[in-house]
Amino acid sequence: MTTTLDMFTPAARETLVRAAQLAAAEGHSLIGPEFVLLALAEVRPLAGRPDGLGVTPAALHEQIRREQIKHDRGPRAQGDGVLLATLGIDAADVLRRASAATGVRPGDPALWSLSRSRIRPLRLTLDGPALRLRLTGESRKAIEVAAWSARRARRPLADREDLLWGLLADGSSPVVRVLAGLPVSIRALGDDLRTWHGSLPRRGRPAA
Amino acid sequence: MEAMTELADAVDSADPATGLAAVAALRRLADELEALHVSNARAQGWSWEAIAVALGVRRQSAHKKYAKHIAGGAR
Repeated sequence: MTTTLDMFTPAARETLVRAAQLAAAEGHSLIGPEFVLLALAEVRPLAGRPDGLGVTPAALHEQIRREQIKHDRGPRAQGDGVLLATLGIDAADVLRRASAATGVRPGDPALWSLSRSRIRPLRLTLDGPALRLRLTGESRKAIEVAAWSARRARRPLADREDLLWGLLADGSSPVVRVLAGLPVSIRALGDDLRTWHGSLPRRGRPAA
Repeated sequence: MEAMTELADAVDSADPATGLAAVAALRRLADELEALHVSNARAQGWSWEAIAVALGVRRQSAHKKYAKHIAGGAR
C-alpha cells in the first residue's frame, strides 16, 4: 500500500501540510508529532468539540517550545525568516505578495505529496514547494494508525480526528507529554473521539 | 522588528555561519517562489518548454522538478 495524501480528507491534508510548514518554520527537517498536534489545534471544531483541542494554538506552541523535544539533529539555530532578515529581506512579505499575485498558496495540498521511500519503507516524506520534510517515527505511526482507523470504520478517507486518534494511540509519543503539561484531559479527548467515531454513518460519508 | 536589530549585529560580526545560513535560507525562499510561479504558469496553460526557457533551465529539469507536485503537471 502506498501512502499518499489521497488517503486523507481535504481537511486532514491541510493539517499535514500545515504541520510540515510549522516544523519548517522552526528550522526542523523532521515533522514531529507535536507539530501535527499543533496543526490540529489551529482548526476548530475537532471531534465534535467546539473549542477543538481545548487549548489555544499559542499556548500549545509555547508548551512545545518548553518541552524542547529533540528529533535527530534538532532544528537549525535560526529559522529562515530570521536569517533572511539579515539580508534585509522580509520573507513572509515576499511570499505573501507572490502568493497574492499568482493566486497560488504554498500550503495548498495539491502542491504537496506524501511518499514512502522504496528502499527504506519506514521513511515517509512530505514534499512541497521548496520544502522536503521527513516524518519522525512517531508521526509516521500516527498517520498509519489514522489510516487504519478510517479503514476499520469503512470510511474512504482518514480525517483530522483519525490523526488525533493516531497521535494519542502512542503513549510514548511526545504529544502525550506536551498535553500533560496543559489543562487538557487526554481521557476526555479520547471519550469525545470515541463518541465522534460512533456518530458517523458507516460507508458513504462524503469525503469532505 | 526587534529581531532585525539583533540581526544587523549578526551581519556586522561577519560570522561565516550566519552568512552561509542566510544564503541557504535565500535559496530555499527562491525555490519556494519558483514553485508558486511555475504552478501559476501551468495554471495559465504554459508549456514546460516555455517555463524552462523563462527559468533558464532545460525543459526536462523543470518538468522533473515539478511534474509530480503541480496539478496538471503530467504530460
